[in-house]
Amino acid sequence: MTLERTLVILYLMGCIVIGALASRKVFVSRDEYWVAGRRIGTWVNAMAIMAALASGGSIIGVMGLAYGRGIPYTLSLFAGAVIGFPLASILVAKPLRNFGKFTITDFLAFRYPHPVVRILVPLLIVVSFTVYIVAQMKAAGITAETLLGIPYQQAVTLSAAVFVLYVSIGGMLAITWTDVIQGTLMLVVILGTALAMMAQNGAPTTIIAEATAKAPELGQVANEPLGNYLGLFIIWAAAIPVIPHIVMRVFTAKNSQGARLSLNVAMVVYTIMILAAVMVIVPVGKIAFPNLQDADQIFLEVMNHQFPPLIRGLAVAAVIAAVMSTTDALLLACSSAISHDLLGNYLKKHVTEKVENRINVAVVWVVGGVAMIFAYSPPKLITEFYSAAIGMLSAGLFVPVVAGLWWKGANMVGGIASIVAGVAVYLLVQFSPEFPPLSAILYGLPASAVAMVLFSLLGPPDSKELTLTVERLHR
Amino acid sequence: MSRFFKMERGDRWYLIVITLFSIIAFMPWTRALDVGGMSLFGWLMALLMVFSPAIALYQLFLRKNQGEDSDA
Repeated sequence: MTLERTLVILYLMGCIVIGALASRKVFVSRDEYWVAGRRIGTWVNAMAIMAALASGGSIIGVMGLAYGRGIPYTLSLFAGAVIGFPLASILVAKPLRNFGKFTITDFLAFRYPHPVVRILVPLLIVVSFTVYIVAQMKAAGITAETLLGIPYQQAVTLSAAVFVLYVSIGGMLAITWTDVIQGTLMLVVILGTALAMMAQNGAPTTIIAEATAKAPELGQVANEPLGNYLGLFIIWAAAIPVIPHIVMRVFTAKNSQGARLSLNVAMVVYTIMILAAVMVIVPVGKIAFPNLQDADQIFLEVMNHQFPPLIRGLAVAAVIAAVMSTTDALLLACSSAISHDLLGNYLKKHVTEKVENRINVAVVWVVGGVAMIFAYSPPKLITEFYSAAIGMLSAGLFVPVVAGLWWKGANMVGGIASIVAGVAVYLLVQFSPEFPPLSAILYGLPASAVAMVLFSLLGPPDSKELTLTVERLHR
Repeated sequence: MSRFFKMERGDRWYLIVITLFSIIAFMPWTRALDVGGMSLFGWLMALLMVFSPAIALYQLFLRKNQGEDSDA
């Protein structure tokens, strides 16, 4: 245990040092704190985007899901996420980068200029991201508990304290630097593990054939309604173009070409990592550990029983890195939703920038603390849990953002109706027992689209000036 | 006058092809067919994950070489 703990402690201290170094630069202006001065290069941004998406869910959760529900079910979720990247690249990257603000709320409040947008959208973000952060904290807790022997609650508290500290003092710059390190660590550990397994067991096709011969359910479409498969796929495909922690990375790019390229490069790296996890590590793990009670433990069991302490230490650091690289970005997006989107106008008028910075730091601590308390009693199967929360964001934001950027007929009434209808129908279906649990998006998105069209036709058209401004975003 | 802002032709085609592929992948028969121990649906999802970034990147590089989509 000593070697593994030392590696993890070194890694955590490294993150804090990066936060401290970044803090010297980021409190100069809002641009520096929220979007790292908009000068992040393509490759660094690509790695940071990949790391931001590849969460604890993408290591612990993806393998748990594949182990518990089969490979096809899991791939339907992650194929959706991968498709989301080109959608983001084509539909939102260029115009949003040219828009040049900080958050998705900034764009929606500009496109649909009504006070309710400035309140509703950040509230949606805070609720769904808190759920997302709780799921990440669970991944950190069970990893440290299983591989380091640290009690679950202590592990959650420790990891939360570290990432809250470096996000609050280092802003987007600290997140970018740590994300690059964290993304590289994840990639090395997952690919290294998969390659070591392939050297022993053969190509992925051989491994899958062998594993499914012993456990046929691994390769079969699980006994789930089609709505769940399609729901998972669409939730993530629609989420990536509008999910705030990914959109904020678009704003950090030097230009729109860089934003588009970094989204697509991130997708390639992400695909390699997910396929290595699902098509190599999980089948080998299923053969070795066919009857695990908690499916989310599969990666940890594989590391615990089949690899030496040094690799185990790196694996713990990689999982914690995965958790942190997503959670730090979620935390910043969540705190920006409160201190920039909700309170921003008030703060700009009534307090100095120095006080505003202190409020930003305090908000990060409050959000992190609340999520930590919820994470002490975590849910089962974390990937499905946070997917449902992200579905609410997709249902409420995808149509208004995309229509606002591409449809000249979209207007304020349509935009607000679209947000409200998407979220309302999503929640209604999500909490109705007669519908499959992840199918709510199949109703929420169409409802949002129908509301957008109907209410835009009923409402007054946008001013010519607004339409021209949106047109300029596409140049 | 179009009711939509103009999208690059390559992007339009990309969206059409990816949508069609996804529709085919979610057809019921892909879930019943078994290939190498896994349902065809699973393989199609994996293929989608590999080809969609590859094509998107190829398109971007092609466009960059043609000098389109330049930014300030």
